[in-house]
Amino acid sequence: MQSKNSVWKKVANIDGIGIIFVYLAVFVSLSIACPNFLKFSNIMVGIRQAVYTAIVGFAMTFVISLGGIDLSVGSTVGISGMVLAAMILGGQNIYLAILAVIFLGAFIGLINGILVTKLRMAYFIATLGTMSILRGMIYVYTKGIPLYGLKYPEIQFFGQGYIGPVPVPIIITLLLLALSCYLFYKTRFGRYTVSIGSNEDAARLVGIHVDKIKILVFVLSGVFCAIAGIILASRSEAAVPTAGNAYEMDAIAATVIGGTSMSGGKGNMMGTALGAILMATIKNGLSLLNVNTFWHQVVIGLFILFAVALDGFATKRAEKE
Amino acid sequence: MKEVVLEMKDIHKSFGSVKVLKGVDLTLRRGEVLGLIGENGAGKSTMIKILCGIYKATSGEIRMHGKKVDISDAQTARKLGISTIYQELSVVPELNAAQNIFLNREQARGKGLFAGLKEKEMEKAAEDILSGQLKVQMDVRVPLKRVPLAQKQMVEIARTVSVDARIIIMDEPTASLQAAEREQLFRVIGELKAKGCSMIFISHHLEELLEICDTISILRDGQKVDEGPTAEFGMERIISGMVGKELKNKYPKRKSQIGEVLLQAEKISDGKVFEDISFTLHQGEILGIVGLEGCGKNEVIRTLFGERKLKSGSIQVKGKPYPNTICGAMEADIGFLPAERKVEGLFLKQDLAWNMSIASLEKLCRYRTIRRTQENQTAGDFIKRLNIKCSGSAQRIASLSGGNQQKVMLSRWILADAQVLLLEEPTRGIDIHAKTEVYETIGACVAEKKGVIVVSSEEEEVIGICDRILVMKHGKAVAELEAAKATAEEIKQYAV
Repeated sequence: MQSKNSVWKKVANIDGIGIIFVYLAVFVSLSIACPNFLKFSNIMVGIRQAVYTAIVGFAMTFVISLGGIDLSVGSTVGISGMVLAAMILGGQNIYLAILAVIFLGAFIGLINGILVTKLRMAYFIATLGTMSILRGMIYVYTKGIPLYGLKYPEIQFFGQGYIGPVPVPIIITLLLLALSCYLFYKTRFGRYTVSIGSNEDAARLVGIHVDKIKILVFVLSGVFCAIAGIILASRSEAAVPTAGNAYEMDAIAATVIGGTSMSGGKGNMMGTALGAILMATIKNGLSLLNVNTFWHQVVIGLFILFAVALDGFATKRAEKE
Repeated sequence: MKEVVLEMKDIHKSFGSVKVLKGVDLTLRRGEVLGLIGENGAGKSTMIKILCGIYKATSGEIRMHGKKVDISDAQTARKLGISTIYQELSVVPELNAAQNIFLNREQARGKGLFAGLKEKEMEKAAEDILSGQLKVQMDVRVPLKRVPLAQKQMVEIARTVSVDARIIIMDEPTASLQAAEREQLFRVIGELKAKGCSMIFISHHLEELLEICDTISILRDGQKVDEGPTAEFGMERIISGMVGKELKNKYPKRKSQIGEVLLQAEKISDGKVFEDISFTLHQGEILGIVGLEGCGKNEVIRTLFGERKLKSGSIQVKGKPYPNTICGAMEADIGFLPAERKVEGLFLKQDLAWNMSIASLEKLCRYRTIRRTQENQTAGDFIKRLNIKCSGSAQRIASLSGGNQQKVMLSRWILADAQVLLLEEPTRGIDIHAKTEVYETIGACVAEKKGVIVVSSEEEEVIGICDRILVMKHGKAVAELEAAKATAEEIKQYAV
């Protein structure tokens, strides 16, 4: 009896255990409910939809662990796609355009970072401002009309290509996941990020360059968003003015479902990946079940509340024990 | 004998496989002050937390006025008239004294959440409690973030007084109080007793317990080992009960071998709090800086550590000046332990190893990757070396006792190879045995030719462990004494 109890306790103590159970439950019930769900092609479709949320979510996990929030991610994704399309359609070298877009992402992150450190603005307000500015600039440049015609094989490769049986976007996402996990768990950068989220005063008093780390985290966020923007533009072969709209909400949802604490000081990178896949799986499953798309939002919202409640319940019990 | 208000019977509590309480009984009578004594990890905090509804006892029962009660959460405890003053203050810094005292019990024009508040009346009532009953002079309209720590605590005490609690638990209430404020607190305790309140008093100052308590209960390793009216107790009996053996040397003897000059401060001023302070710290030396709260002693070492800006004067380590920043100080091998461990020192969400290695991760990296095994091994070494009581390097730091947390803080800087250790109130809120262990660790540091500066509000401690003592008053150095010849009275004369 004793050993059984302790096994359960150990299981309950795994970070983000709630989401793993929820995901398994969703997966099993969908497999039973719709026969097409388990087909390889369908699973790929599901994961493929998760790519953007996942990439932006990895960045968001850094920012939230730091104790912050980045609302400008969706606009950064959008403007990256737009600049990419504008440069390529204007006759620039494709690889030069990609490089320029990644630098643009870094630059946007740098601005956000400077706003929250040197100008001491609240994360929410600063990134709300940049979010609005960037989205506005997209509309000003495109006049609300999509830039079509990204039909070059070099650029199509990122959103539509395959390496073996695996789509390129998924490979890029896995690489970014590996990079994120390495940075987050294995380097001083990750350690310092979480430490600042846990206790900023203490972090300062052990000589951590708090401002520098904060700026770097936002730069990383900008770069990841730029990459997501490139994949999105490549997939749709166009830069749509609304591209990346509300991505910040999806990314925050995936991060929180994955077990990262909104108050900072605790992050779970794999959890975020799972959170992104879970959201995409639910949408995919509901489509297969012919549920009206308007209901998807409602169901996703319920899952967010459920997963977080489960996690909070487990933490509370663990603390009381 | 007066009536029994509270009875805790055969209380057991385990955290996982660790048994923290092994069947403790506690009886509290009306108008009685019970001193609960025990070392770090003896189980006093756990007892208190069970009583406040923060923890749930594994087994045992609690009776109030003879009736069995189930204290399942903090709310229930409050309803039963149990109030706690914690060592770590729980006032809201943005609110003023009156707002804090009436927090969650605001007087309003009418009922409901949206009724207008009677600010004026509450301010008057707060003033009545503070200046009328506690005889504390303070402006109840100033946000507490702008008043000193001691006054914040007075507000917290006033809050408890105002809720008319029948059982008041005080966890180290005097740890940060000046002598005069302590007297004040004791007077208030007397009044509360007369009103029929019962109190559980936790303190590491044994003299204080003998002075204020009616009965004493001693815990050791989760069991009650001694109990009785205070009159029957002397210092010896308490200490032997706590430690299980006679504790001979509170301040461990050490041979000081004073070496070369390590740190030299010349006429330093910060332009605000202190000016014209000069002193020298040698290898193998412990320098104490004492003075009343607000005399600038804390600001001096914070300036040495680069946390505050130096306005004029020079600071040199081994004859070389260093940049007046935290990183500059750390490069010059200076380490700093802040007084408020939980606020400025510890990463409470993280584990022991994380907290220990955070200042020296560079050393634990290879190819820019943190070596976890190495990190845990190093933490394990320090756990053994400094006798840190814990379940291992992966235990959450928040669940360690104050003394053990402080040992982790010291390890942090020893690991970072600091040659100059600046310690701000290094033994605040930790018990005798752990204090002695902290002193021993400091002693071991100076034996390795490090230099230590201790800022403390306990004169006895400074005399006990330091070689030299710098006394400060109103931001100026007023005396430099040989610790071996100094007395607490002499220090007081200079400081007051």
